[in-house]
Amino acid sequence: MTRVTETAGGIARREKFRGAGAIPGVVVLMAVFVAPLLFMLWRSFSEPTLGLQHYAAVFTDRTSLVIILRTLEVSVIVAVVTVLLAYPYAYLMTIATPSWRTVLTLIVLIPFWTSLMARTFAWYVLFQSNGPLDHLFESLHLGGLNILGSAVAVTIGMAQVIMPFAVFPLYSTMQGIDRTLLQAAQGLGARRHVAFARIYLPLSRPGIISSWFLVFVLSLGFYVTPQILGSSHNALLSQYIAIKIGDQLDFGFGSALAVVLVIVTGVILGALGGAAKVGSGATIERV
Amino acid sequence: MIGRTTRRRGVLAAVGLTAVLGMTMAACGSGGGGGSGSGELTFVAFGGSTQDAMTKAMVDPFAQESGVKVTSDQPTDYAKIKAMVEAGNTTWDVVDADVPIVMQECGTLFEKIDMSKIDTSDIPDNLKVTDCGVPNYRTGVVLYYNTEAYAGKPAPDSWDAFFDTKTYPGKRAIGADPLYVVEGVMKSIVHDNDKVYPIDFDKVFAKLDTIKSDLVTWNTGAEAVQMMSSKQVNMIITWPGRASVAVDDGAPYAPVWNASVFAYDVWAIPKGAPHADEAIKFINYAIGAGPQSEFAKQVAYAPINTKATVPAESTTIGKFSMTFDKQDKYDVLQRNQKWWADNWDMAHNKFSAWSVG
Repeated sequence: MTRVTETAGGIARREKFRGAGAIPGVVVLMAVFVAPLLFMLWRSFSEPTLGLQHYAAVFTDRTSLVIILRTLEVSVIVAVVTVLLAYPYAYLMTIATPSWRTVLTLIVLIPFWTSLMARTFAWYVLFQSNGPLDHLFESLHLGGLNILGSAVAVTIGMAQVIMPFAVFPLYSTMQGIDRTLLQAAQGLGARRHVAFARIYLPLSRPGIISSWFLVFVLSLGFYVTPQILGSSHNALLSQYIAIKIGDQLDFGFGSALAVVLVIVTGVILGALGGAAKVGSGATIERV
Repeated sequence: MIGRTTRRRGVLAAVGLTAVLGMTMAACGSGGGGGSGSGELTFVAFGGSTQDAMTKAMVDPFAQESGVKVTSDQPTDYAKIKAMVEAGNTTWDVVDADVPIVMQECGTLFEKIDMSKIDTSDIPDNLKVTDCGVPNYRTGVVLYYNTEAYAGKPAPDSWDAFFDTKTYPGKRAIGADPLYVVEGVMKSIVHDNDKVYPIDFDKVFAKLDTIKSDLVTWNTGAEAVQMMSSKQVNMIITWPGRASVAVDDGAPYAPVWNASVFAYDVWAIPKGAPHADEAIKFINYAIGAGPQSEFAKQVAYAPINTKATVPAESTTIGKFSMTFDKQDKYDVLQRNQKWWADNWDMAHNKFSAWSVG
């Protein structure tokens, strides 16, 4: 390598050193994530014989298609519901006093630190017929509440599990918003809700987008929650993959299903990501 | 779903609920050895109350007597066995396994067992269907009904009651696996044990569709217990080992023996098991009359050994266990394990297509 100047060489060395720090992380990711992923990709083409038969099967099997579409649909719904719930919560965190903020943070995090299994079974008990919610609804003369095994139960259970992933990106974006802009808008005659809708909401958009994406992608892989709170007629893709691999030992087909999920997710993220960028560009201009 | 996915998932869920307990028990299983001999063995079953019973009745005393150091693991996972065998790194030595998968994968995922080294003379010959497995205990599924809900009515006495929503209204629960559902449905169609196989899936699903609005599904054994304990369903098809647990805790359910499918599991040795000799010793020990009798006291699955004693019918376990005398007294269907081995993928593909639709 030819050095142009001393300074450039120094920078290059420093850059190199900084790069070296990432090596352990890269090695670990290659070994425990990229390698298995490539291995899975290979199996989807090679088992039991080389070819695209598993992909042909995925796209001609009504069951696979129904489940893939259902998984996408449930993930979109969960992401929307979670962000809608997380938004006011994160907003409250930005205006709360530091000690209340700590309390609010803990309220989000404590369930997150609790065993997923314990939480899911807690929902199970709450949702079941003759359960506490059922009795509550009956005593309020709202009729019984029997949602165990339904998509609603799965959505609630998933939204609760995944809430921190929406609250924290939203909070970190909102924290950076200059609240004096709102006062300025109100000072110039905007009503509170108008100031919020025209100033605050657009400025918080990056947080909305990143939390929505995060929740959407994480939702695609849920297994335990739909397995326990849902029923087989609303099974999601991870459950179907588990049946294929774990029970029928069909590693090829199961791998193909997983690869299709990764590709479909990538395409959706790419398309939505592009659209979001254009959208946020426009926002900045308007602001 | 080779075998007992649902049971396995039940185990997983149970592990989640009682992780600490499970670890303690695994530790007990591994710490049992006190003898002076040598050797090691890794023992694997489906977990839950069945594995607890095996640990007490078979694993611990075997370790004590032989001096073999036994390590326990759970649950039996065929995908894991396949991965181990493919990687040439098998760590499990003896597993409690479903007959159809062992038949299907005999010689590929499971070792052929030298039966001359094992005394199987007290196991009925008709149960010895594969070179890779030694029958180990009697299991199966039974229809249970809520005795409070149907008080004053004639007790349900056949699979027909499951479909008779006029006489016996209310929700009925089935497992999310064809292995726990389709035989009973088929029997309610043909009313003849000899005509149940081959299963006609179109007819089975059409029949199930007649009560679809009353059907609910359990995915795990823990869920089945929960459904019974909280009286969410008036009928349920599940395993006696689980049903007896719910009933012991006060759930008002009784078995319908004329609506039952009797089957059994096998001990199998995964291909390339590092301690196959100890595995054979263990199998030989565990199918003996003594350990089998002790096992039958612990959990409502029955001994495979005809010389083993079974608990009195006055106890919950005795009332619920699938003993040989019950199959003589009632119109019991014996599972055709060979049919399942031959039709595994077809059955599961059709069932998932129906259930997710």
